[in-house]
Amino acid sequence: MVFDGIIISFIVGFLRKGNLRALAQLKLKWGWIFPLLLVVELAIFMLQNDYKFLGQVSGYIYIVVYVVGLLFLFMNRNNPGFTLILIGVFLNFLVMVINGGRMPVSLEAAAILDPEYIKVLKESLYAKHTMLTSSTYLGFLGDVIPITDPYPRTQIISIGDIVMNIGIFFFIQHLMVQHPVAKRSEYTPVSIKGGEKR
Amino acid sequence: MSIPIAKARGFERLGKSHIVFTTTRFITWGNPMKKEYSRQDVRKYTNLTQNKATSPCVLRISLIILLWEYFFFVEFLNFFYLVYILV
Repeated sequence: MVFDGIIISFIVGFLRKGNLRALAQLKLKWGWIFPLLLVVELAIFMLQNDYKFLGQVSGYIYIVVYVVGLLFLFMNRNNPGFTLILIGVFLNFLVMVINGGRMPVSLEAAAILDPEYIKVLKESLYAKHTMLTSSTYLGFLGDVIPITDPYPRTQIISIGDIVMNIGIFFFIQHLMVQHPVAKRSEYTPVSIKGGEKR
Repeated sequence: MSIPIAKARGFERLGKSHIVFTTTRFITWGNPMKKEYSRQDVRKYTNLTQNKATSPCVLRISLIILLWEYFFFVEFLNFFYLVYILV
């Protein structure tokens, strides 16, 4: 469900006759930090099985990444939808932080996915996921909700993911439909009568 | 003009002002400075740089600057990264 909320929101935004103009006006405080965090996270994904030490500390690094993300969302909470995104991320963060920095995944729910995924999850470190077991705390906040047909992409998601995607939906709808720049007419009138306001 | 010289020189070497224009619009769309460049601005700038030799090195630097601007400073892409990291 990584980009589903974004894609669905764009489709709905265009159906509502919105546009992308306000996206160019978007200004997020500290937004530049995310390309860097992305590089860090992808590097850990690739190397955590090769270097034992990195595998051991990866959970702590994910926690730091989430703390930075939460701070960023809090600083930008004046944007519509960001409070919901903040709550969704916090729910994911909560279940991860009390389970060693990794998101628990229900094997029952994961049965809808490729069996190879379950095998990898059992035998090694996969992304920031771990198996949900009887010793997992707050397991209901983990990836426990299977989504399959008729939804086009089979996947398992968490309650936090759903809340986060609702927030993303509202944020993009605001940008595409309600933002003053989006509402502004694209073309300036060719001639303006004297004294007449635009 | 606000377009960095290295950037415009790199594209000027391609010898097609319409590429410069298209690319400039492409950059402007996500430019944090939100500058609006007109077609005339770009023509003027292209004329300023068209007689200067451009080394392959400058061209490469220009492209790196362009990619850096586009992938690291477009705020909405940062939002994309945020979602990918935190979901």
